[in-house]
Amino acid sequence: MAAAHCLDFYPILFAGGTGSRLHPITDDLIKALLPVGNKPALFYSLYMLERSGFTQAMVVTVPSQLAAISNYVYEQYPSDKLVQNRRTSAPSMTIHIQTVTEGIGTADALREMANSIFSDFVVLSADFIVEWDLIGLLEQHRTRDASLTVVLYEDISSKQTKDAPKDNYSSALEDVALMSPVHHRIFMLESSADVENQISISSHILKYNPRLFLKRNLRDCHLYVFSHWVLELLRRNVAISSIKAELVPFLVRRQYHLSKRCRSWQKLVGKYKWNHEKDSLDIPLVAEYRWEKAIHWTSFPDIVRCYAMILPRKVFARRMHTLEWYRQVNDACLKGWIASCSMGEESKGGEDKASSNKRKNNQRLIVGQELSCGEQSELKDCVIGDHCHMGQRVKLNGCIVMDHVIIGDDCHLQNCIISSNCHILEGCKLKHCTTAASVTIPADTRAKDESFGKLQDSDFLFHP
Amino acid sequence: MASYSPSDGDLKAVLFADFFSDKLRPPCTDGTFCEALLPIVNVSLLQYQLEALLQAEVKDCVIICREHIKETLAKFVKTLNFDMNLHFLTNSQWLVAGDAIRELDSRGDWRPQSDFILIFPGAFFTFNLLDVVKEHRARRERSKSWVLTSCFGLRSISSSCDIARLENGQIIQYSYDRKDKIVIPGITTLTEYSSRVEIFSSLEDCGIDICAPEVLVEFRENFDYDNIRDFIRGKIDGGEGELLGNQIYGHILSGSADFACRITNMESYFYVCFAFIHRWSYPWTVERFPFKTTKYEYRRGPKYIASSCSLAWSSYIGRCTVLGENTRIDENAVIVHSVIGDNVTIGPNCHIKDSIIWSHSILKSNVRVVGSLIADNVVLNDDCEISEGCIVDSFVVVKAKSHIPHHSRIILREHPYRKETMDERVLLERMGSFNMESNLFDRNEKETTIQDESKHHCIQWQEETHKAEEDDESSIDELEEIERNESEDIAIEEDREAAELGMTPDSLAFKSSSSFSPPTERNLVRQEIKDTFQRALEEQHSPETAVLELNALKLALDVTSSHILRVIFPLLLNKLDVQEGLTQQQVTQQWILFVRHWSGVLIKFCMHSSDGMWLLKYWKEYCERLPNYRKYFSFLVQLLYDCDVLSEDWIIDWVSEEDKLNGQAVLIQQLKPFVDWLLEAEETSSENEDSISSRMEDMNQ
Repeated sequence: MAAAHCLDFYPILFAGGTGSRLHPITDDLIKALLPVGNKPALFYSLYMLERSGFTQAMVVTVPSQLAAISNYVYEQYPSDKLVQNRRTSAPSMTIHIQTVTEGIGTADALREMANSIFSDFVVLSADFIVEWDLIGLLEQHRTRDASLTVVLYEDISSKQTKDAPKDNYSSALEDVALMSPVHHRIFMLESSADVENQISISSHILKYNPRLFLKRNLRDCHLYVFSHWVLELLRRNVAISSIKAELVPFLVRRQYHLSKRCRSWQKLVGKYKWNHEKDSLDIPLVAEYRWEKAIHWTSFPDIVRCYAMILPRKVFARRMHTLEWYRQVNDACLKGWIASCSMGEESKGGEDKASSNKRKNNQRLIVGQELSCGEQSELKDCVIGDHCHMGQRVKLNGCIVMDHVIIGDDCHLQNCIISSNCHILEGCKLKHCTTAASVTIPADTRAKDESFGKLQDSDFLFHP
Repeated sequence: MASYSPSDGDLKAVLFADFFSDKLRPPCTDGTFCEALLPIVNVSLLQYQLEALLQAEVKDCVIICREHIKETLAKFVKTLNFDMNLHFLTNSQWLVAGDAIRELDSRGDWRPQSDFILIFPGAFFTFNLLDVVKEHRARRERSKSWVLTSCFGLRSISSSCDIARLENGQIIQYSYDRKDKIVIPGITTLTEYSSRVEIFSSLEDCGIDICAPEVLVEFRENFDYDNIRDFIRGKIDGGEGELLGNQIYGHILSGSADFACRITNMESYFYVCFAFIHRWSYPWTVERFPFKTTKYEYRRGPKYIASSCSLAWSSYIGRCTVLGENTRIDENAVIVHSVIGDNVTIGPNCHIKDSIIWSHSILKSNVRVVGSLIADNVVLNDDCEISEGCIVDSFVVVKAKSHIPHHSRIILREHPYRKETMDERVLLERMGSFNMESNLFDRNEKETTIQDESKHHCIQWQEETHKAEEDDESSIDELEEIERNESEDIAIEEDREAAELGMTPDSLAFKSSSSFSPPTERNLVRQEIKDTFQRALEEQHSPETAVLELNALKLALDVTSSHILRVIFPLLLNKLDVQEGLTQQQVTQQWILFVRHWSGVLIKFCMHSSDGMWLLKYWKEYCERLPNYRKYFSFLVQLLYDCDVLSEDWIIDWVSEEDKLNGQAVLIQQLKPFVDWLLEAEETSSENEDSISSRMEDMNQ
């Protein structure tokens, strides 16, 4: 059974992000709990793990978010219909929550909890939404005997919106990877903003890999599979603090690399006797320091093997770390690309009297419970949370509306993200706007591309 | 038969029949025989080339060769009766292929008006070029800028090269004879055009190109282009604009279906011969030549035996053997893995293995030939033994019972067809420019002359090492050499001058001594550097920022990196303190963190061995002055070595130097185990170690 396989790997889910780039909607809400198709983002990651057959998982968070996260994980997540369905036929997944010090890097966090990891592990981030089964990834990691497997996806959308002005920004988030064909072993993985104008490929890589290709338009999913010894490396190398920025590049560069001093390490070790009383090697102080560095690269040069797995194009994968991408993820929910955001609940809960009268067949809609909708209101391509109230003649197009939002009469909203408990008064016309939670927008506001922060006078505007 | 649009005209080809090099001599020593006629399984190379061009529907072919071999070639071509217009473009003045191309460009009558096929000397290929030409023309129709298509084979045999190409096949990097690593410049701009860059290393440059006439114009303008590869290199070096203006397509031949490689030396010649026997060159095989020559019978093994062969009953023909027409094999002869030409007589009890024998040779009884090339009309008398890697030139007679040692070459002093008698010295001089890298034919050091019984005088000639390089060195190189020496002199002077001033400059820096800051300003300069770095230390700047600041200062104040090192290192040392309460362990931990953090700065400014020496000396004196640092002396040196600030050579050199001065110094003794370890490590290290990359990595640790 799949579950038995997956026990070899321990999934670690990072849910401690602050989501500063998602400002202002993360002012009150934790990034991991942002609603995607009316379910918190954390649900998708957890459910993916559960569906992949893991029986244990660890959610890592910071003390300030612990309450909210543990509330969700222990109270709400098990009561989700999909989870309950799954658990009728398969053993349920035990979820541990671990807190780490606030404000440290991801690799630091790994180092802090190294003691509770006993096997190879999967690291993923809660803001990454993917409709995919991890089994293939784990199989690949195992068969290649890899130290690190990185999951990448090809960014197709950037081709379509080539002329868009924001392209400059989004291309900075792209990665450039140098990899071998077929096996996708990677030799370089850098964000394209960091790539120098000149790339040099050293001879020992070419010796084993005569063909390589350099690929742009890749994005890192922040989903990694590591061998267990990486923790040991982290423990010894205190300077590494971030997985993405330091650990992964470090491992990638270490391939086929064996420094002179390490190669002769074994010789060196042979000279010194193990001192049983002190339980340590009887080496002079300096050699001890050297030993720390050398330990991993002793026996065989091909000890570090980094592979990439490129997601198939049909798989939807996005990291929702900017507002634009948050919109895209929700859009994908509407289009039904994410199956686990199934329409099951929506068809029951949302089939209320109000919404049914104005819905046409081709309008995609995800509606929470108890939506009250006024006369002649039109909702199109929207995700609407629970307990919302719409006035009359309201037009919503491509909007994300969270819970308990009241929208007054004659409002026209297009591509907006409205956080919970907001109150939008009559006659507002908003385009591409974002609000923080509990904001009241005065009547007859006309705004475009603006974000409404959480100040008392809500007409104080942030310019994005 | 597909035909092209009439506007294109007939497809033309330009074929180099002259190697413009001496790599295949001997056997091709005299004027009457040239490399283009090398027999590959008893059919000459030129015949294969022309046949392949004929398959690609080439109507006109210009054969380029130097004057002295034209006659031979013309005679040979006449016997072929190809349905192709062949022209000879000859000149005795050419030195390199580029000269010939320039001449072709100036000849109005033969200059190709449309795209043409360019075949390099020694290119051997059996695939149909027509598809490549078609693709090239389709590209040309889309955009005029695709001026060149080059073919590359997947496995490298003799001319290995590396290329990088974009998704659309455009070559953006081409390097020949890579020693260390591939460097692809201009990635950020290039990836704008393509989301993918493919990198191929160890490709075989087959020497087959489809050129546009525009390429010839480039040769007219650039007199330094020696061959077509210089054109590619020129375009790539020219930067982005050039690359866009003239796009070069890299056609990667499929590994299994297309056979192509280039014969440039003996090793590749042997490779091609045996690859042909092994049927890698399908659809052309020995028994199915595209042209009607000898009829071979294919047997398992594979063995190819001409019908007119006469084999003795007791002879043994082993695997991978070709026996040419009218060849006679006598009793008890053993032939394994060899190519025997036409009209060869092999006597009783001969033993031939891994060898190629051209036509009309006679091997008397009991001759042993292993791994050698025997040219035509050679007579090997009874009981001869030819060891591995020998080359015996045509018309040589080797006397009975002689034993030819490994890797010798035997040529005639007086060739029957050669007009002038060659002086031994001249001959050696000519041969001196040999350059054979293959291990099959290694060089030996000495030279001997065998006086044969027959009327021919033979020179058994074994090469002297590296004579070629000396001979080939042109005056330009000499000039450079002189300049280099001069600059070194200047550097030494600079050193001396600086030593007087109390500071040694980085002799690697190419700044002239005139840009030295006068001594009165020196303290100011020093103070400024000091202030900058002090600030960086106190305000916790990142090392990268500090390097930037110091570099800016370096440029502004016009000082060398060693100057900066001499200021910053003492400052760093001041920061390393030995507190009373801490244990040795804690101190070292602190130091490790601190030095690792700032090692990036030190690496940047400690680039030359003199800097390293200074650094070690300074640290030693520092320890001598402050006794509580003494036990950390060896530790910091090793730490700096680990951070790649100090190279092991410097440490070893410095210690050995100090040893000479004062062998009993305590601090040096402390460093002894480490140095011993370093020496040991050096022995075990492989040559593959990439010091730059490891340095980069260690910086990141």
